[in-house]
Amino acid sequence: MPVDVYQTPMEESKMKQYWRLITVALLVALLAAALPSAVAQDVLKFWTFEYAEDVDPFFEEYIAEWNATHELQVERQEFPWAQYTGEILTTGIATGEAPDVFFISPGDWRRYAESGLALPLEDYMPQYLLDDLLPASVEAVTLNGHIYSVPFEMEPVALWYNKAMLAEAGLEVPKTWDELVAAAKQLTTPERYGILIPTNPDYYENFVFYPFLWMAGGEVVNEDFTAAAVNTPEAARALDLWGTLIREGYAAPTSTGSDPVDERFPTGQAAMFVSGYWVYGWINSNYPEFVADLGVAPIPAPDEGDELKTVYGGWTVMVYAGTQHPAEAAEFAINMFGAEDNSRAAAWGIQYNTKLSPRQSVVADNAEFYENFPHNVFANEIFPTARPEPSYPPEIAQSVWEALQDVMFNNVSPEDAVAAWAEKIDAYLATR
Amino acid sequence: MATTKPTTVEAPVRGGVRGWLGRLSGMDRDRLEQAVVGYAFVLPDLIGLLVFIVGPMFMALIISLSDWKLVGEPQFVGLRNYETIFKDPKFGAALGRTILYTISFVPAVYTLSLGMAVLLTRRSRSNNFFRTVYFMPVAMSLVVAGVIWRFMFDPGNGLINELLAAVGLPTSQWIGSVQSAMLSVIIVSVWKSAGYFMIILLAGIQDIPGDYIEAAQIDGANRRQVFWHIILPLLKPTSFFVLVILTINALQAFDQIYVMTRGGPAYATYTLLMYTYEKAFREWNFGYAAAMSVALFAMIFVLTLIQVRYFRSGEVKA
Amino acid sequence: MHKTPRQILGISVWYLIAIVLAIVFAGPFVWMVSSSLKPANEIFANPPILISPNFSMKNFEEVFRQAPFERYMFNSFLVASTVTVVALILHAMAGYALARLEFPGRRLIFIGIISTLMIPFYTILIPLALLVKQLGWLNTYWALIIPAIPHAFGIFWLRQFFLGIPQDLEDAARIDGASRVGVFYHVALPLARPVMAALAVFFFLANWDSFLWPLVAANRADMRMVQVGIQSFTGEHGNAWEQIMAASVIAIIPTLLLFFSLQRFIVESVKMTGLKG
Repeated sequence: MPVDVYQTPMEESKMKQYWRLITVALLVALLAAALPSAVAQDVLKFWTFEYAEDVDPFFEEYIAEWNATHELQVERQEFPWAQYTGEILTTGIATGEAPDVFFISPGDWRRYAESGLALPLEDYMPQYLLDDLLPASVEAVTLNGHIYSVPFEMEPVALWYNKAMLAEAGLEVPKTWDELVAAAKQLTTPERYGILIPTNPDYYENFVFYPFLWMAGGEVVNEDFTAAAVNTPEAARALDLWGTLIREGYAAPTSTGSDPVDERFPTGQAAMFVSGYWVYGWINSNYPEFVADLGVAPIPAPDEGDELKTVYGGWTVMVYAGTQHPAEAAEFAINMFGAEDNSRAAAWGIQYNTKLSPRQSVVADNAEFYENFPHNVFANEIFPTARPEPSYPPEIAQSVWEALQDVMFNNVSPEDAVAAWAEKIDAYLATR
Repeated sequence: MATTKPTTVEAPVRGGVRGWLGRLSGMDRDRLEQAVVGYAFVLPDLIGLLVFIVGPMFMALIISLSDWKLVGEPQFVGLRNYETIFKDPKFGAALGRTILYTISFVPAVYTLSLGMAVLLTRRSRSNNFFRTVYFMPVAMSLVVAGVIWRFMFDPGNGLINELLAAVGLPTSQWIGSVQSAMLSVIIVSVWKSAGYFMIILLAGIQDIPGDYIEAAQIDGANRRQVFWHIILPLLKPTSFFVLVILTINALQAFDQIYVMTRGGPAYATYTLLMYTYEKAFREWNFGYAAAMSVALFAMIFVLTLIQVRYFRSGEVKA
Repeated sequence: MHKTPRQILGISVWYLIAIVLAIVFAGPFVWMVSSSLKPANEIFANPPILISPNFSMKNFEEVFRQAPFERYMFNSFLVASTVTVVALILHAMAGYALARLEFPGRRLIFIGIISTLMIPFYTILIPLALLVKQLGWLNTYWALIIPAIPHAFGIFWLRQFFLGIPQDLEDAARIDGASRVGVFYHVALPLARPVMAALAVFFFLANWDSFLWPLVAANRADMRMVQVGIQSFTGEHGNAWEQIMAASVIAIIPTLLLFFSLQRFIVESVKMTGLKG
């Protein structure tokens, strides 16, 4: 059929070349796709979020050791941080592809424990380990008398500061909230922020806020988990501090890369930074020139003489209740950080990461390491004041950052915010 | 180009399909050929869509009628999840913000991408360059675009405020305040999408027979008149497509806003899909999340039908 | 050939607009490329550093050293090109049928097809994952390719395009004795080249960059696609931006090249002589 009037011959041939290329690609594709997929073997599936490349040997060595001595082989899979707990674990559970052993965040821990997704581990945990672990850490993973995961790291939150900037302004490290606000004010210039606090409405914002809430004398829920405990002047005072820092422009209203490690701090665009122990490791590897100016102190208490408090986060390792191999899975999970020889537990925090171990023997056995800055400050000054991050259901966690966001960005008064906050928590607790 | 023209129709006709097949057999040869070729052409895609989208969607519909918390069997609860939607102030607020986003985003992208398409219609080397440049944001990874824009929007040292201050214009808090956050995410979304829709409109403009434009020019029409009286009317099928797709995209806005603000500050950019996502993947309240998705689907469906009606006159069938 | 002052003014204004737009559109891209060539501690420096004195290709080397990035690119290429070719063929057929052929139920089928666009992907993520698991496709290329093919976007656009083909053209071919399939292949398809070229770019881009679905459906390390690979440089405490930037520069090259080489088909005027009146 003559239709060549619709196209010039040259382009026709070029187009044909494209199609030929594409056809070849297609054939290759179909061949590759037709290859038989790996036969599903009976393995122990171990999932974590993605760690930096230099952390991988930790897992590789342990898994190699395990696989050499056990018939049931372990296969580890890593997933992008941002999707790990949301899409990945959820879809895995929904489709019956859940891992046997997995890392779980404090924010999600309670939901898994309450839903029966976690295998109780107390019967598998050796006594030496139970004795070695900090009681508070064990308590944080215990529900109704069952231990639902193994804690293996602690990252307390502190006040990081730029020593040069404080010295230049003639400032001492702030010890009270008034001093903190005054210092933040004085350090704020058109070119830099006085302080950085988390601004994204998320679990992380709550995590960093808890020390402020606790030091003011506030709590989120009462001890029996039956009613809100936030409708108090103490909670309002903590909210007010964060609101003031943002409203007055002393704190940045946004983050750049992420809240836990804000690039503006080591690049001189912010003078103080409320964040965790990990900041040191991050600065040490990315901004080595800044380490000399880096200072750290406990987060100030509201008034002079008030008890210092902080929070420590840290993931724990959980065993899926539906696993086909509960004994092996529990052994694998517990031994990763809980072997009688604590060197692996120590290496995790000292060599591969900047984290503390919940095993008391680790600090004792590595006394030399914990004499150096900033590990000494964390081990001796900050950590003793730390409480584990509480694990609240998503509905309660949401109410925390909603109250914060309202005070920080919506000009809601702290008093109104705590009232609304308490109402949300009570409404949720009524449905449990 | 060999084609089989079916000459016979399957004989036995029974039951409910009788009417339908009867109509087929009553057709003349051409109508029959059209029907056979039509079904054959549509079928592969139709099967794919039915299996991979409509099927899962029906599962979602069933989930929306139940209470499913990831663990255990779903409990049938009838329309309870849908009733909850009407009582849920967060849903209403998120819907309001989503609509605000949509009515700003859709006209902005359409106007800008049409302008760019008209600007770059001619074939020339410089146009090749500009088209590629305008397409760059489309191809850029969202994480990277997000972090760069966040840094540029920094109220303190951000490049945008520095530039504004340098030329004496007022600066803004951008994503750092509830007043300007929505505007900021719209700017970034428009920046990210305009090149994409520019391509669609460009292809649509090529589809307009050059004769029409030439004829108008011979009749003394200037460029503006050619645009308004020739290009725009003849572009209607493409415009319809672009507007429908833009509206759907806007009502489902999530990723491009999430990387900028996580829905903050103070929920100023929290969209309906973010809420649905959190209900499902954070709270495991899959029943309610599915019900919200179905409600969103229904809204988009009605909106699209309105657009179809409005644009029906544009379906050129010479 | 002399240009009148009016024409010169017109061209100048044209260039001014085009260049200002280009700066806005390319700015972040330039930033990304610049960041990929410098050490981590300079990416967020203030004032920004465009060309670093410590300029190096180290980040690119790191990307390939730390991850089998070439494997990710192969996977992405395989999936993207297969989906693109198959989808183009199927969608062109479906779009043509919906636009130019009369058959009972056509309108209903069309509405049904575009309604599939209105479902957020998150809503069907879990049901779809269950389905693909039932089919035994988890961690295979089938899972990445087959569910990505049916998509209403291309069908819808091609239908809109085919609606605009003048009836005379079809009639002429029919008088010459062409069948309906022949008209599609010899008349409609060549005319659709601009749209097909644009769709090829879009399909390739969408699948090359596809992220959430591959993450769920094929999460074994050797099945990863490019965007999943880029996300692997994000982490618990901050992101390795210098590597993310380098990986993103690598990832964007194939799509920009494809666009650059196919765009002449997108803007070719399909000649339609003898259509006046």
